[in-house]
Amino acid sequence: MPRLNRLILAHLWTAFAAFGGALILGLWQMWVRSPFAAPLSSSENYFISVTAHGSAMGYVLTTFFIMGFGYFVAETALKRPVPFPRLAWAGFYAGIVGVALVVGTVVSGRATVLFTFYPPLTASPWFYVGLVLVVVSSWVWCALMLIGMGQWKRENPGKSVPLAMFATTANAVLWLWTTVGVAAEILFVMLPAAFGLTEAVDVGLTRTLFSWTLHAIVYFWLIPAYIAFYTMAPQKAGGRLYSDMMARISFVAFLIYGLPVGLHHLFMDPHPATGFKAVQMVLTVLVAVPTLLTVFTVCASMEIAGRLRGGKGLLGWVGALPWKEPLVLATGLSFFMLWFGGFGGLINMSYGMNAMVHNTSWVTAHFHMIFGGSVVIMYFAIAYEIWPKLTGRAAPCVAHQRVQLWSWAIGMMILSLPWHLLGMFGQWRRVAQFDYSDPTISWWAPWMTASLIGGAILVASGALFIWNLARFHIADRAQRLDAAPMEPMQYAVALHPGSTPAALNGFRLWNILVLVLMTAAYALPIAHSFIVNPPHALVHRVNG
Amino acid sequence: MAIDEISVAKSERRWATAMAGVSAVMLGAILYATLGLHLNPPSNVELIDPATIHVSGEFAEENLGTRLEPTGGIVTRLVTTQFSFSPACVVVPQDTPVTIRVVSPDVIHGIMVVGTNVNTMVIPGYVSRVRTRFTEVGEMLMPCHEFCGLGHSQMIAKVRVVPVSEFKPDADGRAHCAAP
Amino acid sequence: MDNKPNPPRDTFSGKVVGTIGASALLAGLLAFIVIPTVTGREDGLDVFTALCRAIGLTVEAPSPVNGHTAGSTVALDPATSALLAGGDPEKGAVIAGDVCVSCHLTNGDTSDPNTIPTITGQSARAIYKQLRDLKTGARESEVMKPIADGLDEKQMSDLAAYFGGLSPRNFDNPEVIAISERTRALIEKGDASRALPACAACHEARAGGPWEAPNLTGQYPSYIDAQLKAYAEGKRRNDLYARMRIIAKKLTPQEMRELSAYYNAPAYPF
Repeated sequence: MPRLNRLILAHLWTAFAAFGGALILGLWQMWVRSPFAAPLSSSENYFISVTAHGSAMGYVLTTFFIMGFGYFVAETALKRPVPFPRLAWAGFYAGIVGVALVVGTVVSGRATVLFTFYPPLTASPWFYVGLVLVVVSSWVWCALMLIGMGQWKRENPGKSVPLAMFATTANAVLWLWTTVGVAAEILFVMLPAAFGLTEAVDVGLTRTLFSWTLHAIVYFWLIPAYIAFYTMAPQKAGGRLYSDMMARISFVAFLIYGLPVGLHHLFMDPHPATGFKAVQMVLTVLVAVPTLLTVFTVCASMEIAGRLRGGKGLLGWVGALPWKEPLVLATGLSFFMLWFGGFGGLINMSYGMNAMVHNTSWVTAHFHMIFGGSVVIMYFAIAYEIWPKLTGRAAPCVAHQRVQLWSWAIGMMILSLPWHLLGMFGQWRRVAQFDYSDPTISWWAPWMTASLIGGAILVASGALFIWNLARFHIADRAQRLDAAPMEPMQYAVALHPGSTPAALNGFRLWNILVLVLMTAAYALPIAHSFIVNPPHALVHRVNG
Repeated sequence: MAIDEISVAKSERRWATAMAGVSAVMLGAILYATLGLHLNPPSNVELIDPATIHVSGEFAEENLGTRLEPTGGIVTRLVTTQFSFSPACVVVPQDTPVTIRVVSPDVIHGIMVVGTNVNTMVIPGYVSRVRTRFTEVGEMLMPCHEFCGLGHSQMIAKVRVVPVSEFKPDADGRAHCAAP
Repeated sequence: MDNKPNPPRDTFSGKVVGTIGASALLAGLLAFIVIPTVTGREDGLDVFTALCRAIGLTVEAPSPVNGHTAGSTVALDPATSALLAGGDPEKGAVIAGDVCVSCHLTNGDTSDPNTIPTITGQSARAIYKQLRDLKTGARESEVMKPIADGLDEKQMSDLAAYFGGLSPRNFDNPEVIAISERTRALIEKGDASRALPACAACHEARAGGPWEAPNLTGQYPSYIDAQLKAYAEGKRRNDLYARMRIIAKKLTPQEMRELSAYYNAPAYPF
């Protein structure tokens, strides 16, 4: 068992507890929006629920899962203790206090601003303080990842950092860059407004700052899934990583191109000048590259596994893969959903064409498919993979894990494919109610019902997931693997472990490139607000 | 293993080239839509003080709605506010260039006309402008598509597209939705 | 071409920097030169203006269209916020004792619930805005006009601070009217089929609706009903952007009665 297993479990259970609660809220929201009458339905309850669902899924599930998994990787991939464990615990408790503040303010109706909290709507100051604490908690984690990797490099001069840790640290670096935008927004605009120190805000500027964070945060969520694709799935399938260097290039490409692209969320905003939007549109095209590289490398790695297991012919290796392994199954399902999610994203980023889908259900469908589907299913698979290491017990029932993964993928398809369709036909976002008697809307009813069924499947699947994990803890003592000590965590080995270019064994060059690109992409849009000094909007407090 | 290092590198290079090609095609398609089809995001960057738009100027109540401008163009002016559009219904002629100008006095809103490419955020402090042409006669929904408060779900207006022959502005050039 | 799988460091870094630099240059060229030059033509801009626009150096000229309002002229800006924040409830109490007491009683309640609202504990912003609108004539009232005429901005903010700071109405004998499920839904959820937002989205504490929206909790049914009718008939028109006129026109007389009755009770979740 890792030394920090309690710390890791604390993080992961916090993440999954938030996930479970948010999942039920999600189903209720679908019920409210469906043609059927839902209990407890009111405007206020609906938007409290949407705020809680988005914040829990987007900020709590992700951040705490990534931190917990990061500590696991830091210990098992580097095979050395994580530095400053007490600091790690302090960070965890800071994050918990933050979550409590967010939950308290949202549930009491003092922060009904949705998880994107666009001003001038302004929540209780404690909502923002809570978010700041979660971010600070994650910064502690980032620092520990960087220190851990640095210490390992000093202890192992000339060797390349294990890929899983390199990728985890890449994510920490990405996250430090990513949070700059939202931290600036909260500290310089939202907190002063919420505490009553300012009465007006530059709304365009806050949108620009939030967009800095809004896209890269998605790669922060996604990188653990990619770590599993590269370093865990091929190992589980019995293969090799096709190319260690390609993997590193992909992670670095996320770091470089994931950041200077956030303005593509503001294509339909009136305030950024066309040039700012167009620059980031071109860079957004390039951020597809790491995913396309990943598809190749991971498929090639899996092909090696399939052929080693006796698969023949052009596609025979696919059937030869051990699909009974949850991690392999999840990788397959994740890739399947990635195609839909990727295609959806392609339309979103298409500059003027974005007008067709902006703020429609298409967008909601896109991020549910790609995050809730492709990424979260890998969170599940990672949990199934590492829980035996964390608890020292074998999985009580792998078949239930497979059922859970299948039902999640199916539920997510049933939930989000109708949204894609309706979004394409103009179903708008973030509303509690549709008038199904309107001729434009009436044909939506069966599709909304299908989505509701998808949501119910997801809740059932999520409950099975929690149960699958809980069984590790309540399993009979006899199931403990004390007799045969648990194998240490193994990550996939590269087919041809060669020397890694020094640039791909650290982050100096990449940080410089990020700085240059972010300056090019964001200096002018931010400066623009100060140059033209647009009229500010009156702060609109929703907490009284 | 059957695959040696050089083959690995070669296969990766081939794939990378193919993916560079895919990216180029994607970029080409977007550029074609922008430069050839004139599908551009609304980015006019025009400032307006949200605190006083109701008091005087272009978006005072008397100016809202559709108007045949003295210069000949058709402009539809709208205010999006918590939680309604003002006016709640606008009339526009079919197959005629229309400029929609919309502002918010309070919080962020967004508008779209369902079934068309009319779509823009409305950010307090700026005028949002969309140029369009409505091709089909009929009544279309124009909802707010960005969360603006607890009444967001019911913030819906209508666009009534009428044949040019039925579009009859008054002496001042203003056209109103007739009572349904 | 270099065919070694693991090229030496310098070559690798150089290639990376070159590729990324080239992509950034391409992005800049397209965004700041090609797209604005071509699309600028569509907007009737000369090349120089189009290029300046693309980098946000210049903004579009404001529209020359003029207009005026017969409605409210209260500016919802930080200056008004500051004026209200500076309201002095003690001075307000003195003014209230002089001019308000005969109708609004000393505690802000009413001497005639049919025509006079209770204003005890009302939002200070709402009180200020109504006084201001009564003074400018945006809201018509033969009784209140001369009173508001006698008040300056500071005095209005003092009054707003005084009445806004009083405790809410005392509900000894609320008049109870049965409210249908449909009307309750209108209050809590709204009705998308008529584009009617929930009353609760604006008119309860912490609703986060319009800045100047009054809190209706505790208001007398007869007064609310009369105001809804006045909005529906266009007799009252100091609501900004016709918000309440649009809503009231869609309500049936029965709904108006029930909605008004709903607020005549102290029982609210917060």
